[in-house]
Amino acid sequence: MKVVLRYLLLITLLQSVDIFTASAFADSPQILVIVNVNNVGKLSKKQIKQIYLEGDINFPVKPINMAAGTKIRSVFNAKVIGLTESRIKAYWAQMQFTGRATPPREFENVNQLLDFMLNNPGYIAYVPADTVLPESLTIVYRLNY
Amino acid sequence: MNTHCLYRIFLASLLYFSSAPTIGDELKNKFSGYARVVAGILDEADATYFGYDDNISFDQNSLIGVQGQTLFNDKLSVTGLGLLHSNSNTDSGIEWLYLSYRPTKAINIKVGQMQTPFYSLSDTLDVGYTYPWVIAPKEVYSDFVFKKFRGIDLRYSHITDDYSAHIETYYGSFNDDVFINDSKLDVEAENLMGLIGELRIDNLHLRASYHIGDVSLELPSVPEFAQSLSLSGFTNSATTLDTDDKKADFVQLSTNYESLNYFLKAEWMKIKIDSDMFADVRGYYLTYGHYFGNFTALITYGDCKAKLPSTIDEIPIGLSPQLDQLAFGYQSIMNDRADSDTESWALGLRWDFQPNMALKTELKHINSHSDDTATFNNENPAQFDNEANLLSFALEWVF
Repeated sequence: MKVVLRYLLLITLLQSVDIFTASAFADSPQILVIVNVNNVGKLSKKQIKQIYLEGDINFPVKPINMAAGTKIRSVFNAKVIGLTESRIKAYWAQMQFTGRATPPREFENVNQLLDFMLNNPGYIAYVPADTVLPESLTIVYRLNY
Repeated sequence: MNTHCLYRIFLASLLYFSSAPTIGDELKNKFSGYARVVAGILDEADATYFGYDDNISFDQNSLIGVQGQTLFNDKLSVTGLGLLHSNSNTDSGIEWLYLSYRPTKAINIKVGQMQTPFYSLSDTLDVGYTYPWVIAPKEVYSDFVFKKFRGIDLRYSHITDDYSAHIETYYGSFNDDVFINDSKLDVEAENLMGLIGELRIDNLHLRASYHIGDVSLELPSVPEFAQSLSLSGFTNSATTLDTDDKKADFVQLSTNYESLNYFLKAEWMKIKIDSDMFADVRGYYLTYGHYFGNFTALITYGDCKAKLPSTIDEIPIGLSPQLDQLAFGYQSIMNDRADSDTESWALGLRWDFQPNMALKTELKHINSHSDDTATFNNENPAQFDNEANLLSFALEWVF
């Protein structure tokens, strides 16, 4: 009987350790928001949302996007901007056809985006957490989702 | 002063600059556009609703617009839009063409021909992709209100971490034909000006605007009749027919809340023209929409009331055939004025089936509480019960 109880206890302990490690360490997806200028400190979600909707009026960076349909863009739209893809598209169409602003540049993959950022200062972008970042790029926000 | 002539010179210089090859490396050209195919059918043989009747028609709201923009540098650009409209009552051609100058990031000055910023959506009324309905609620988006003007527009933006505030003001004029129930009216607006305030806090958007202008409408043969009234001594009656240089004012309020699951939109407007020939109009709509993946289901309630000023009884009847004729003529002009008292319910569905394309459908029930002339164009009043359903479809595209 004692053996059985110990065994059960051991299993419970192991399971809880397993749960603990899974939630805290393993595979927690993250998005990094990065800039290629030095004079921007850490940013809040609200601040990033404002840059992505209003452009560089209040901050010295312009937003850039991953291509529509990519998973990272859907997550970023939902978690940071808080609007659906079609609403954001509609918003930019309105900005564009009233001559107020043009939609952010879009990139098909992370390498192209990083290439652009290395050569054109003044931008903010988001990339997956496992991206190897060149030194000149600074992380301003981490999104856990 | 011949503003047309000045405008032509302005246009010519814009075209010159935008095609000049000497600007150098800084010159960047961008093209974008939109298109929509709209079909609609009314379940009513005895009336039409904004051009729709009991035959399916594609030509009331279908269009294609191509915008070209040339950026000279970070501060200066020129934007033009060519529009091809399937509705023969609407002019195809250059819809807007303006020079945009940004002395700072927060200030945008536009000079040229551009959209009149009356409504929350009047900037993009032709870009169906930007709104959920097939046809923007006619209770507010009246055909009477002209879409473009020539002049200057200034917009200032104040952006903080918590909110975005925009203030816009403009001054200009307008001279074009406006179609009301298929009758063409020559409309002129001078000293057109307005003030618009917009506030966005997170996903809540508020807009309020106020506009004034001196409006002249040329109604066929009415001025001649007014003159004969005047000559016969009925100056008060003659004055009520005057539609030249009348003060008009327009108030608009709207709100929009967006979330990942649903949205709410509401807009209210009031138009008053200081002439006995025109009704005071006020209208509003409320829309609730719910997102289901790439689908949006929406329900809209609209209400519009147009009240006419009461007529005066100055001309005696039964004294002489000539006077009777004048009185009759006066009454028939007054009876031709358009009033309305309309309610509507609409159910709609939008499907964003491609990143830049959407399909929409809408069933709208329109109920007019009077035999009015502003809501329905009524060929056969005795047969028509003042209720109708409009079924419409749209394919929207932005590129």
